[in-house]
Amino acid sequence: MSKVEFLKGNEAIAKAALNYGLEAFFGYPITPQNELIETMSNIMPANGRVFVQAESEIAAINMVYGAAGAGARVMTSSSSVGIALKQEGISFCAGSELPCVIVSVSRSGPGLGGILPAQSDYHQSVYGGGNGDYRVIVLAPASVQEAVDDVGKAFVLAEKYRNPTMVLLDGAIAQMMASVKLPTEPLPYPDNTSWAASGAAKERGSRNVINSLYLDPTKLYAHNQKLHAKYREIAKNEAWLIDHQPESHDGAIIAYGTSAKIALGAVQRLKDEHGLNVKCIQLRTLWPFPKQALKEAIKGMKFALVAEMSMGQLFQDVLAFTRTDTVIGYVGKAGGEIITSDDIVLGYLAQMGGEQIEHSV
Amino acid sequence: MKPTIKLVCAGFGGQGVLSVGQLIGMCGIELGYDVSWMPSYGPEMRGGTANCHVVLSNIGQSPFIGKDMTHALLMNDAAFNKFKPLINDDTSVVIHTGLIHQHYPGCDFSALAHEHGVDKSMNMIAFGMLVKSLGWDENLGYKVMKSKFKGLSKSLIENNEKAFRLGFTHESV
Repeated sequence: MSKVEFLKGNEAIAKAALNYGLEAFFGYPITPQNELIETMSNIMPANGRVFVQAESEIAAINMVYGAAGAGARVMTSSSSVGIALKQEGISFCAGSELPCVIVSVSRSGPGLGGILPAQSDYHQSVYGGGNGDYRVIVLAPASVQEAVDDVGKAFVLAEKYRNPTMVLLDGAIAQMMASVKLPTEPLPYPDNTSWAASGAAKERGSRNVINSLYLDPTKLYAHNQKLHAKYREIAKNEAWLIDHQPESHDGAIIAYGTSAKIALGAVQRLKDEHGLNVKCIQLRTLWPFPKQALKEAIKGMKFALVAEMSMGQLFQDVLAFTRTDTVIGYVGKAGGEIITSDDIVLGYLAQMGGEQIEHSV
Repeated sequence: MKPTIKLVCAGFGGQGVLSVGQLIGMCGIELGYDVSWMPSYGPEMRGGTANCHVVLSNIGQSPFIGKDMTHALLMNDAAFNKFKPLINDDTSVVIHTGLIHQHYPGCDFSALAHEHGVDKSMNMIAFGMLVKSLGWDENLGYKVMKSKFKGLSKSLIENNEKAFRLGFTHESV
């Protein structure tokens, strides 16, 4: 068991990735993930691994494509506007079925926006901006420890399904210091000899090719069907939420990331100050969205409140995916303003017993 | 169960409020707390209210502090005005009386530091006062300072320890 350390989120993620057996990191600086790439620039070369500060986010994700194609365990990180630039490359990685981990530290938007924490990259992460029918697995930690754990899980899922996997956190988790335990052992490396272009062909005449170009529509359709079958498998196996108070049935607060941590405090206040037994449902994967588990967790409830640091992106999905008699409410802030337990408690009390709203704003 | 501690340290950039918060966090780890230290990293870092929220809890709680603030170290007027709404009846407040003219317990940190020739270690006086007011052992303070300041010059380390001692034994705590 490793000892408890006191580390900044960005630093903890970088050190954890190294310990999990990361072989190559490609990045480009942007606030609020700068300490991640800074830490990588020290620890990767010092441990005989590859570190490149690329000339842009686009270059970095294409280096990820190359290194993943060669069979390396690989990662990149960026924030909001930088992740926007990476979208084409992420689609290429998905199309070529390359395992890679993308750490997305979100700040406020749109455009350059600001550098303070936000959750307004839900759509960007879950639905992406690259072309084609592709999906990215998205894990959503709510603390530095969960971020460290999720980086390990992301490598496992990326390699198991040969698919890009994102760890989405907000600037608060990246910038805060917290007590954390880091992994001590590398994750096992999967056998990738059947597909990686590592230059190690077993026999003459056979070769592994990394490609996402299929000009023959029959072949491309078959490729799409194959990818889609994989996505269905991921959706079936990997959707994940935490029901923090399974015994509470008066209502629920649905949140992810930092908002979920704040919601946990709000749930306690609703109990202490208002005698309401409300549960906090923390979404741990955003894609696949834990639809069934969420329906189960709010079954029979009159009201559930979505709390997020964006203008209703998660609210719209919860509304669309649950489709039950439970009224779904919304409380949120954006632009770098942090949602508070006051916001959540007052939002809950004001909206419980109300009619279903269709739009958050 | 150890008491949950929710401390805000705020002041000008350069007064050392973020370091004081980190040291309190390091003490928390030594005491087996789940710790978070959330700094302001936005535009306020360039203005007058650099601050950090430090939460020491038994189970991981939100890193952001609201009206449940248990301790506050406020080092200038802007910080006082910003965090005054979070002060409740149970909040233990320490202010820099050299810069804030309000009726709260405190100390003129810069005057005291200057008087004892430890100007650069002003924030360690505040750290000492916090450690004392939290009821922690004096040696815990020296232990985490030793860990945080390893690599600094001997004279600076000595000044830090001297300043810490000034705070720990200060009459106001």
